[in-house]
Amino acid sequence: MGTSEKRPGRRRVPIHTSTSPVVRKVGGSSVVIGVDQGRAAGSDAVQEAGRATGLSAKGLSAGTIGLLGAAVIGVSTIAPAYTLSGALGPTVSVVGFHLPAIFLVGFIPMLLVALGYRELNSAMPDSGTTFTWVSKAFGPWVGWMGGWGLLAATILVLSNLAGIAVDFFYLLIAQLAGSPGIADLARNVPLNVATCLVFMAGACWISYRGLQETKRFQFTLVGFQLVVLVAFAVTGLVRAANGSAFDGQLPQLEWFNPAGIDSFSAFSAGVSLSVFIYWGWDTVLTMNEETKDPERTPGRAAIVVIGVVVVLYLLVACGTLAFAGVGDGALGMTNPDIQENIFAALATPVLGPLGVLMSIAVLMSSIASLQSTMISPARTMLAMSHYRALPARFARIHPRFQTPGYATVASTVIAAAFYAVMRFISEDVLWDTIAALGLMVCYYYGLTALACAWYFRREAFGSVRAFVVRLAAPLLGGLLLLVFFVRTTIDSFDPDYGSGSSLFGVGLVFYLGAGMIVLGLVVMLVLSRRMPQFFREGVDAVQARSGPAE
Amino acid sequence: MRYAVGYAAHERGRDALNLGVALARATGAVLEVVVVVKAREQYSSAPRDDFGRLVEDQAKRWLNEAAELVPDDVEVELRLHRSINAPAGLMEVAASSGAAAVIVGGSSASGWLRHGVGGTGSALLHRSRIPVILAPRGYEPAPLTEIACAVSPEPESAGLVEEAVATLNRTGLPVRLIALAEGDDAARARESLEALVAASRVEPEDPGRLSVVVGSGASVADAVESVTWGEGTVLMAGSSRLARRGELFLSSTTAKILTRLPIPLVVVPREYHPGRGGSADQPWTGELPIVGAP
Repeated sequence: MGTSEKRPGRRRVPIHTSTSPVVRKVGGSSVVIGVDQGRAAGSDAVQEAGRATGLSAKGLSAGTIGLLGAAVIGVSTIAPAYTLSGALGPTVSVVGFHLPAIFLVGFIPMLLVALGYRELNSAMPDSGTTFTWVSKAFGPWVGWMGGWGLLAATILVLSNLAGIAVDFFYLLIAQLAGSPGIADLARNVPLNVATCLVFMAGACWISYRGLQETKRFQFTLVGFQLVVLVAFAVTGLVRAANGSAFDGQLPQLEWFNPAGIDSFSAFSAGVSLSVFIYWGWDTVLTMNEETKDPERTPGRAAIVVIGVVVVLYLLVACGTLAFAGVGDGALGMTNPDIQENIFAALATPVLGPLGVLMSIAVLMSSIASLQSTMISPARTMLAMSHYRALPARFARIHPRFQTPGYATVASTVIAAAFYAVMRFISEDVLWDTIAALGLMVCYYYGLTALACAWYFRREAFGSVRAFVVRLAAPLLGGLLLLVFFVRTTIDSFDPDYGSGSSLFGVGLVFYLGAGMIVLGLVVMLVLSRRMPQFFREGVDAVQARSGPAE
Repeated sequence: MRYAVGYAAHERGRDALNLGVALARATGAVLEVVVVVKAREQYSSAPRDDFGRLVEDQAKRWLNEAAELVPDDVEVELRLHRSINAPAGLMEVAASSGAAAVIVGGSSASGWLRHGVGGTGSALLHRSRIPVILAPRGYEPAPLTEIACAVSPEPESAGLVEEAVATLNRTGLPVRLIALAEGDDAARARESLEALVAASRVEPEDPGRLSVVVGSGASVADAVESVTWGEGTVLMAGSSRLARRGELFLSSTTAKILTRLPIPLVVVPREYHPGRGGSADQPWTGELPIVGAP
């Protein structure tokens, strides 16, 4: 046959190189062979916890994310630059110089709830978070509605984030090109929707490829964001000190004193604000099955995220207040013309020619958050489907990327369709939906915190620490959020709430909030007919049927 | 379709490559020639830090040599893969590139047997999830003209018989079902084998090409010698009942066959039957009729 005779140089075939997934590079050319200790410990921990609690791993890529990666993704989901840009102005209008104080006040319920999340996670590291934990504590029906709350809030906020990213994108181009007309392109509905879909598709693609990719993407975006925000705050403070500020004054301790806020309504506005500005850290918990050391890392990362964010918020609040003051002059923080995007107005006066970096940071912040927020609904859907509470296709795991591919794409498609339809129908409805999301967030955070208190009700009296972190703190945090949930629901009756649209004398936000819950109830009832097992037996059903998970 | 060929720069590696070429010419498969480089342990002593690079450069030279050994009419891809060991690396590459079979040669240290199964082959034969094709020592490439299938005349072989018939239908090559009888069981073996063929749920499209042969001898090894093995024949065999579903495990009978077999052997996983989850996903012979089948 002559196949063994040599014909040198006859053809060049490229050589592909690849490395086994069980071989890990540890700097330089050295490698560790065999299963990574962290990984092994990771999946073992999920299974270990599973044996005790009836939960099981779902085929996600274990051990991909460490503490730092998880914290970065958490900060990204909160999107500090974009949140602050929109929230600083309106808050100052209500509380004046007590802005840092209100950030501290808002931090408290979040910290209490996060402690509850941490404890639940160390007992049951399961990517279903709210859904799984509430199901274990209060049974499948309440658990399903908890999961629904999370899904509704996160999927709909995706459309909001993408919309914001589009606005900032054209604003940035307008700033760079020096022609304000370009910013108005965002008002062109077909163009706006098209841009938005591009952003969503990009973010979806990264999420689809998994947390490694997400982490790489987020490290850059979040790092840039934090550097610019800190630079902005410090420069603001320096300018206040050397007298080159717009309305300069040095920070005082009184700014941090919550007791100095004169009215209760201002106080409750502060708590309401906290839901928006701190929301997102729970994404970290939904990644628990993919972290190294799933029982500890996600809980710790959530606390780290909230800690980093509160420090950042306080710093930026002080910097901005010190520079711009609370007046309503050209650059004053209560000037309604600049409140909507306060950094756009203040960046150049504070940072000079580098001001454009702030616009980039805000844009990056909304894009980063768009991408990282996708993590949480996809993993919740995966878990719900895994425990037979949603149709089986949502549990599909991509064989190579080990991500919940179907659920990721499904949540993106729902969010994109929602955005596109709402943009064409009515922008008011779109923004009112976002206001209604606050309700959903309070609802599912509150429910989860109460689930923690209830789940640990017997073990909590063993030690002082257990009592505080497993019962008292989550109970208090959960109650605060649920009180706020009820109060906002009542507020949303007011036709003036949100965009000011109303139907039969009741605000549109109420209809949207209630509508989302009613829709959830309807879907749940339909599913309970079609897949009754979960609703009879809860999350333990899977374990009973399929034996120990692989 | 593609085959993963486990290559090394010695005679046995070239056996595998030559067999890959012969099969690829028949089935039109792409050959993915793989050299697995063992990743080094972090704490084992490494005299020089660039030792890994030297090894990889050597592996790349081998791959280029291998490419030159493959004739132009066969499409070839080269892959250098780092893994914990050769069989694990081969299975990883085969799984990630969707290979229909892994082709390996015998042991480079074995003495006189036509099939001296080495460490890599042995590991593959007990763990692979796709068919493993073993090249005999000193394999001379010959066009594929016939597929033989070693079947034990027991009801458990029904699936393998169906797979053999399906292979006939897919490739258009003549298929010989071979039962090896120890002692004087030959007549009974033929009877039960023919019963299995008659009971097969897959009908041969050309019954003339399906034949049943019974080899007999004092032992399985002797029985192997009583059968004439054509040059262009490959022998297909199933897995042991020890195998997990969908995985290979070399059966003791096949191990005995290997001691005397002069032709290539294809071992298929357990339950590698026509239908979903079995061979229908990706048969090792490919979906298309064999090029130049009689």
